[in-house]
Parts: sequence; structure tokens; C-alpha cells
Amino acid sequence: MTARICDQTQLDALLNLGGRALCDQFVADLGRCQARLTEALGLASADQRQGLEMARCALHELRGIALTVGATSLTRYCAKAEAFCDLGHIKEVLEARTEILATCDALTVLINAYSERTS
Amino acid sequence: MSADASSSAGQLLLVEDTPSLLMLYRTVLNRAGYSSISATNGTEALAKFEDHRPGVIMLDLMLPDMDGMAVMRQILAKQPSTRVIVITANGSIDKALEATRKGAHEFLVKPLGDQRLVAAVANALSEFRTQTGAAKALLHTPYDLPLADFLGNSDVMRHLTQKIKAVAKSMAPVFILGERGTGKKTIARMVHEQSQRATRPLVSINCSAHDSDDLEAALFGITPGTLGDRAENSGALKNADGGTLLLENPQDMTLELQARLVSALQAGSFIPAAGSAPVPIDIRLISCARAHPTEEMHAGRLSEDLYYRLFVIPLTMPPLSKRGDDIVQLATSFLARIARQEGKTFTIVSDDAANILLKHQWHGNIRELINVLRHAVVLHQGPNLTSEMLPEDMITHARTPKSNVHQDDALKGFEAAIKGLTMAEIEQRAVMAAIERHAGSIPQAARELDIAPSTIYRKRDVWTKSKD
Repeated sequence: MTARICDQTQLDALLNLGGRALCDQFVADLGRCQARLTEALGLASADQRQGLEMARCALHELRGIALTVGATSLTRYCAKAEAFCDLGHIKEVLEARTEILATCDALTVLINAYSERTS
Repeated sequence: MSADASSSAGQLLLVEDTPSLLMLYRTVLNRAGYSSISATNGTEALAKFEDHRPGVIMLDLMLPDMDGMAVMRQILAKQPSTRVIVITANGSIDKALEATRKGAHEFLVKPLGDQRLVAAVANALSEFRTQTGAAKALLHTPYDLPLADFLGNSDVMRHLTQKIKAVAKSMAPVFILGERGTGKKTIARMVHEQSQRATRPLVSINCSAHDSDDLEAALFGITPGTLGDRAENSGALKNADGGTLLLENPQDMTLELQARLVSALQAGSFIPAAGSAPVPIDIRLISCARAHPTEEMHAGRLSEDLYYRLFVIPLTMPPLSKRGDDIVQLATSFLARIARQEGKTFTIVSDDAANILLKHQWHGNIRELINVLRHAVVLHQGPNLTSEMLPEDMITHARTPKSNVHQDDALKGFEAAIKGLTMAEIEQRAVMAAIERHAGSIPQAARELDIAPSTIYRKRDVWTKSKD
């Protein structure tokens, strides 16, 4: 499961560098991006253009985190969903959301596990 | 901690809106000995820039309140010597390339490797200090390219190299002209290193990187207590004594400061502060600028006195597009070095890639070539650089056949435009059109038309008088 979510060596090296504080910050940022994405897509039902623009920003930030921790699949999902936001394809973005949020959750679990293992 | 890192306080600004990434970058840089200040949005970044005037900025292009590109534009307008390292996610490379065209020092693609991040900051800080400091400056070719590789074998460069050898032995002031990114400072170093002053300092000062008070202090020095609590600084003129002073963009000095410099050069000495004894100086002057000094003098930005002091022997660095096969030689040398820095191996520029490189216009010159190669190395695997690894717009442009139909149409249009005109009128139109194509620059128009700028000035006077 880990291998499919991210590159464990890359993640470990990164978290080792920044310690507990960095783990906590990654977890906080993942949660914040998930909340922003959910809020944006909620807004998109009333104002599609503004909602998709907000979603694109949240996805871009999430993709930056995913790239940094080596979460390849999450990077790919976010990039695809960002492209759909640009195209105004709300249905596809809503479909991608499920996978994105689930992968974020799995990544959060991995980071928390590292934090507990090393504390 | 390196000497470079030890004094980075206040000189490095990180702009990143994701707190975890910001924390990570700060951690990596702290471990390498670099302290930094940070901002999480564009407004905060601009405010911190005003407060600290950092020399290097790591800037995420996507910020919550404003476009990173706008932040960069405002910063570079206030302090052009700032080195902006743009951070981008894979997939936003086009935007990063656009940023480098608009003045970014370089771009880094997420995920940022520790070594790459530290190397980029070290390089940018060192360049910033070289450009702005009045300390002894060692100027290198980009990526420490061997000078022979940098110079290449094209006729235009062989001719220039011969000219450099000849002028280096003289004491005459040299003015190096050339577009942005052509390697003017490297040529200045060559002149210095081949001169009899090679064992003495080469001091570089960029007149556009300082406001007038700072520039005066950087040139003439500060005596403790004369300007707030700043430490003593001997100034570039004294530091260059016995050696060479490289003045970048002399037209950006105020006219008052130009007058003070001319006096010092005439007298062979200057008085650092009121009441102090004159300091003797023996310096050779090399200047460099993108703008032609004759044009700057006509526009009133460069005093006539300083113009005649500086513009004695002109050396013109050709744009990369005029250097023929040198482009491929340069690309091959840079490619290997960039690849080594990125932990990859690239050794060969394939024929199809070489064809595209040769057809490209290279408006950003060597700097643009480096950016294109870095783009390819970051995103692909070697050892061959193939055409597919080059930016799409370069490939499309190189492969678009030039239409004979358009050329025929253009010829017909030209014939129609000159029908019924005298030879003198055709000449006037051709000259005025060339001036317009070069945004009013007479020296550039003269180069295109292969005539002396003075010919244009003379003819223009005649045309103006005949109109009156």
C-alpha cells in the first residue's frame, strides 16, 4: 500500500530532516488543502467559475506537497484534476475528488505513523 | 559553513505559501548555513523586500493574493540586481521559462532536491555579491566553462578574440557592448587577465544596482561616522588601484556622480571625505552596457566628459544567434556541466536538436541557452539531447518552412512602396524604418544597415533641416 501512495525512502528522508514539527505541518497542510478543495467544490455548485478556480488553487498546493513527499499517484490525480478545472469540466473534478481525498488520508496516516515511530 | 553562507542574514527571502514546504526549505538552507527571512504571500513578500532589500529571492509563482510574476516584476524594477529563483511544479515549466525570459535568475522544479536547492542559493548569492559588491570580484564564465569553449570558433568570435589580445596590452579604456546575456563580463575578465595588470585586482561595480548615495559610497568609499553607523569601506576606486575597474551601466550614475568620477580620473586622485587627504589612484577602466554610450550621451544620460573617458576602444559581443556553430559547441559544454549538477549524464547534442538550436533566435542569448538546456536535463534522461526535449515553441518555429509566397508578397509590397521615389527618398525611408525597428536606437540601426552611426546622425540632421 505504502509503495503505491509514495516513495517511502523519500518521505522518511524528508521527515527525518524536519522532525516532528515538519510531520505535523505536513499533516496540517494536507488537512487544510482537503478542506479547501471540499469547500471549493461546494461553492462550484452555485458559482462554477469561482468554485473551480478555488479548487484549482487547492489542487495546485496539494500537488506541490505531493511532489515534495514523492506521492506519485496523488501528484498525478491533482495534475489531472487541475487540468479539468482549467477546462471547466466540473463533473470530472468531482469524480477525481474521491480518489484525491482518499489518497490524502492514506498519506496522512503514513506521516503520522512515521511521527509516532520516531517520537 | 561556507564564507558565502556565513553572511547571508537578511539577503535571502523565501516566498512560499505552503507552510510545510516553507519549513522544509528553511530547514535545508539552515543546515547549509544560510539564514533566511520568509513570506507566505505576495504582499508580505513586497513588504519584506522593502524592509530588507535581500539579494536573492526564492519565489513560488503561484501565490494566494497575487501572481508571482507580478511580484518578481516589482522587485526587479526596484532592484535589478536581485537574483530571483523561481519555484514551480512540474507541468508549469512554460511559466517558469517565461519568468526567466522576464529576468528570473533561474528556476527550480518541485520536488527540490537538497543539494540542488543549496547550490542554486549559493550561486545566486555569489552572483549578487559579485555584481553589487565593491570588493574584489572574480568573474567566471557561466558554469566555469573553459574560456576556449566559451569563445568558440566562429569568425565573429575569432575576430573578437584577436581584438581582445591587442587591446589588453594597452592602457586604453575599453567599452564592451552587447545584448543581455552575451557574456560581456567574461570578456572584461579576459581583457584584465591578458593585461599587465592581471596580478592586480579586477573590481566590478554595477551602477544600476545602487541608488545614488550608495553608489557614491561604493565608488569613493565611506569614512566611519560619515554615513550613519556603517562600517568603513575603501570604495571601488581605491580597491582597484593598480588594477582594473569594471563599470557596468555607467549611464545609470547621476550626472553629479559622473562629474566627480571624471574629476578623479583626470586628477589621478580623489578626496574621500571633506578635509581628508587625496587618495592617489592608478586604474584601467573597462565599461560595459547594453545601451550604446553614444546614444546615452545624445539622450543626456551620459555626460560628454565621461563618454570620452570611457568610450575609447569598443568591443562588441555578438548575439548568440550570430555565432553559428558556436551555439552547438556551447550547448554541448553547458549540457555536460548542467547534467553533472543535476546528477545526470548528458554528453551529446543530437543532429536534430542541433538543427533546432541553430535556427532559434536566442533573444536571451547564453542565459536563454542555459535555461533551455536545464529544462531538458531536469525533465529527461541522457546521454543524448534530442529535439523532443526542447521547448515546443522552439521546435515549431524551427520546423515552419519559410513561405516563398510571403516573400513574393513582401517583394511586391516593397516595390509598390518605393514606386516613384527618388534614391535619396528611398534611403531616408530605409534608414528611418531601421531606427523604428530598433526602438529609436541609432547605433543598432547603423549596425543593421552596416553603416557608421555618425552617418545616420549626419543624414538625420540634413533631413531635419530640409524639413524646417
